[in-house]
Amino acid sequence: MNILVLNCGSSSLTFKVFAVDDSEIIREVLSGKANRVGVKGTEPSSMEIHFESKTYKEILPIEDHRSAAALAFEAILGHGIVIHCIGHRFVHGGSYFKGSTFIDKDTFEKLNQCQPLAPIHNPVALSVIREAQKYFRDVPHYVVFDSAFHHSLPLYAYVYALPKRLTEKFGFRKYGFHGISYSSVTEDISRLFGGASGKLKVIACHLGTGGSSVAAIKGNRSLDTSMGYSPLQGLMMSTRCGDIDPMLAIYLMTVHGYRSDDLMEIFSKKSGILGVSGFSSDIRDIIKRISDNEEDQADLALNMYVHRLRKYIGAYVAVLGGVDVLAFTDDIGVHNWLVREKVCEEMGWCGVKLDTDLNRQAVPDAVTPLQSKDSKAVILSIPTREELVICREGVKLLKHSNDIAF
Amino acid sequence: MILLFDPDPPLLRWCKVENGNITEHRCEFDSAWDEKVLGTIDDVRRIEAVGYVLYHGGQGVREPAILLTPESLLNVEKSMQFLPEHNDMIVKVAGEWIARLINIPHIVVCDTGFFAGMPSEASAYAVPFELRRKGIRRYGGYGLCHQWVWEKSRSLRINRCEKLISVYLGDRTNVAAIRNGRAIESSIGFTPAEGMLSSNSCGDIDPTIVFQLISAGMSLEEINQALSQEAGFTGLLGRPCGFLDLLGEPDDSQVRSVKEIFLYALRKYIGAFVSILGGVDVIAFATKYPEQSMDVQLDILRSLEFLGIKKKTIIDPHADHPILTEKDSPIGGVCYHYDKWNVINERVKQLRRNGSEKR
Repeated sequence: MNILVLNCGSSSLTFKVFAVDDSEIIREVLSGKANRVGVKGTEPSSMEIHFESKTYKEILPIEDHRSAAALAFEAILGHGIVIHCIGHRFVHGGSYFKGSTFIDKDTFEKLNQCQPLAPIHNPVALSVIREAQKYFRDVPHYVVFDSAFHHSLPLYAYVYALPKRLTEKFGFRKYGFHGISYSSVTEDISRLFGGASGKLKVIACHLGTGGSSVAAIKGNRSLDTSMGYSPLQGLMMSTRCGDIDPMLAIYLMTVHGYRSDDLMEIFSKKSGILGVSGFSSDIRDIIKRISDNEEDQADLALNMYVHRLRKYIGAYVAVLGGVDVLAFTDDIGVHNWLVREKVCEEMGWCGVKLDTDLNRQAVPDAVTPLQSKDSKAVILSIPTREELVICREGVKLLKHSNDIAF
Repeated sequence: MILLFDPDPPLLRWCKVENGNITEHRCEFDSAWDEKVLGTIDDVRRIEAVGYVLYHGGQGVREPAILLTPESLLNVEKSMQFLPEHNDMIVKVAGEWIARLINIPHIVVCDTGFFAGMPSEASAYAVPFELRRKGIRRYGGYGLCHQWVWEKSRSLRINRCEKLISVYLGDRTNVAAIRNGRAIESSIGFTPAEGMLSSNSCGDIDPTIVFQLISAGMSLEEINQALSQEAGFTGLLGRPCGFLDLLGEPDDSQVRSVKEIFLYALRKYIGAFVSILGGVDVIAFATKYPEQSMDVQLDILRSLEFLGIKKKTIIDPHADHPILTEKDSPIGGVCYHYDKWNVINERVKQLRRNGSEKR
């Protein structure tokens, strides 16, 4: 049977079709990605598809995720592929969902209610679910949640020091995200270290073109992570501000007369790399501008991005009592050697030493060690395989519900 | 005699320093405040200098201490909007006393001044220029304390203190990273609400939470009150709880849980700042409660044992500045007894001395 996995990033849509055989062996049939969906930048949006060792790429305007999904479905159907089941990534399941589940009427309603929890992602993912249900009416759809991996966070890491009555009323706590990616990275690290992985202290940096986060993982369990109640907290991201003073919003509304909706829009869509640089949300544009020697706010944007990541890494080294593996994943994590190099500067204090040559030569599509010989910690560039994790979740769900054989 | 003012809304605190003796007073800041202050002074002609604490210098005051002149008073006034209650009070007090005693130096010591030169990657928020040019940045805080900690550590030759982490332990616990005397990070941001949780303020939270509370119909004042007065240890526990309640081995398991949350947050800040410094030579604690808070200090050092830090087994908590680490420890640990009035007084005296040299 064929499972189609749809993975909405904040500025991209990745889709993959997997064939699952009777012995649950999973093979990738088709993959594709819509890039820079609805993004302002110097490069236009594009769609690429890999099928039967051919690559099709087209540059075209893609306004939103719904139209990206429609393009993907047309391409899949155009190649004559039959879809039996569809898996969706959903960022924030709030307190409704603890694990993956099929989408029925009731589930859809709950997903709908989760929209405000991740105002960038959840509405976009819902629009893709709706579009997929239009195209593929008679197949089961399921959702996999990004918040699930961080259920293991201890109380002292997830609690906010807010008045009890507010925490209880609104369910404020740190949920954490990118859990599907962290599952994938953790699995790969386990495989690499074999039986010794149970006590490994891992700091994983998921650096995406949209959102970014860091997680402290010990013995395959998440102990802390930089995103919080929503994906707005933590690192500086492409258009999200990350950590700010909670009083900032109140000050700007009281003293400067900002409206709350406008301010939320500024913090989530006009801040981060875009807000600091003033010209692009894409770190590649920032780096290009710096090497062109046209320093303006581009160097500040890059320095802030690195500074904030270094703070989180340090905090998690202290939490874990050291670090055995420092892993970089997702687009910026595997593609951007300069970011990795800057992050690892002066990290000798915790045994992290990068081999600058290995780092510059690293290929993005394989697990690559980057540490120098005298580094105590292993540094890895690991491509995240979120879609595969989502596919496996689907296989589990199907088996559980129908006892179907593959 | 030196007269020092410290705003603590709704109270005004002041003290007289005479022959090394400090006498502290306080009163409600009402229309009769000036009379009340005068009532504690036998002879105003004996006042040689007046000092004022400015908690948030904003963009107007960027020095740890400035000599107050009619022009610089304008800069102090400019900073009012950032911490309106505190700053408004000290501007009123300074305005009154500068008019009353015209021939002596008036000096403002500014708690954000030490951090005015933080590198921009640490001081900037990742928000658009439109907001940054409105003075939206991380200002740091407790600069009087952290600068004093750095100067003291250097003069006592605690390890080589090129890379210093200074921790203020108290009801407003906060952390600073200092490289060769220059402040390069602070846990405090635009206001002291960012950073460590305290007895009643929330510390770091997801910014989305504020917007959720607004959509739920809470007013800005209510939210401000909730985050800065009803949160922190008190919010977690659901009843009043201060820093001292956390120390030692609290009987109540819920208080122990609050302490665990506090220690965890502190450990993260220390780790973050070690990372920014690229290592650390000295971790120094400054507190009014050196002895009572010893277990907090030791917990932090214990959490850094993986860096080779060697805790002393026997520490004399009554020493002038208890050394917490062995001589051969690669990272030094020390605790200072922090007396705010004393430090303010030193800073005022220092500027007075420098001022008269210039004249």
